[in-house]
Amino acid sequence: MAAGRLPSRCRPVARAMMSRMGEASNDDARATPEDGEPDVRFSYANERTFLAWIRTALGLITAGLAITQLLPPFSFPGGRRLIGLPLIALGVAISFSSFANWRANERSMRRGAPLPRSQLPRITAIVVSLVALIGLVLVIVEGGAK
Amino acid sequence: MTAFEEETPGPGLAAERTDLAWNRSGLAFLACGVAIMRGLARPHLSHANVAVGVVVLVLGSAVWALGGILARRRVRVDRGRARADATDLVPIAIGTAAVGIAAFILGAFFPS
Repeated sequence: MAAGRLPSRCRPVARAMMSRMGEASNDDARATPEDGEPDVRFSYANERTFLAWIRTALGLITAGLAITQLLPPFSFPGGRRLIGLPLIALGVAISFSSFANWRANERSMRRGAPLPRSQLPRITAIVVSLVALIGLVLVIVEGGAK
Repeated sequence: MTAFEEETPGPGLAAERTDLAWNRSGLAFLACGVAIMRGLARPHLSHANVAVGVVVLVLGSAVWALGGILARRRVRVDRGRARADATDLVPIAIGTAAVGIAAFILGAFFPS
């Protein structure tokens, strides 16, 4: 029985079974998208991108929490919160939109459409730069006060 | 290793990288949980911090476990067919957001 005669849905299974029996040819070994499903490696890459954003969010949250709770207070009132809370808020925003991006990418790949442009890198860069600038000002002011 | 695994290029290394990414993500949760609890050696922990920290540590372990489950699914039968779907990832996105909201409240109202 040739794998080619089966409904295409069954082909990977049949192919796996056949190659386990030692009948695999070079054609069978090719990893190609089937039934409109994207190559699974693209799905894995999409999944890793999601996870990388989740880690970024967790890093921002952890940093923000360490700033507000572990850092000795600035003489400027609310200084720690001024730099810590925006980072945490950015982390929350990223955790939501990273999932939205993952889903949009997955859908585009299934349709064979170009991948949507993500706004996350730009937003992250802007917020982190602003927080860094505020932190710099705080540190300079603090240094002058001593 | 079966003949199938040896002869099929498949997603092999991509699946492994993905598993490692899951492990790193679990570790990031654990680090976040420890940071929230501010190191177990510290004498003065607020109850709110300990409670949130424990939840985050549990979440981190869950992420690690989920990564392991996905990886096993991918290696075993008909690998390449086991994609993560929304039901796998939604809890992680919502969990991270919840951790962030809890951290925001801790940072805003329990500055210590």
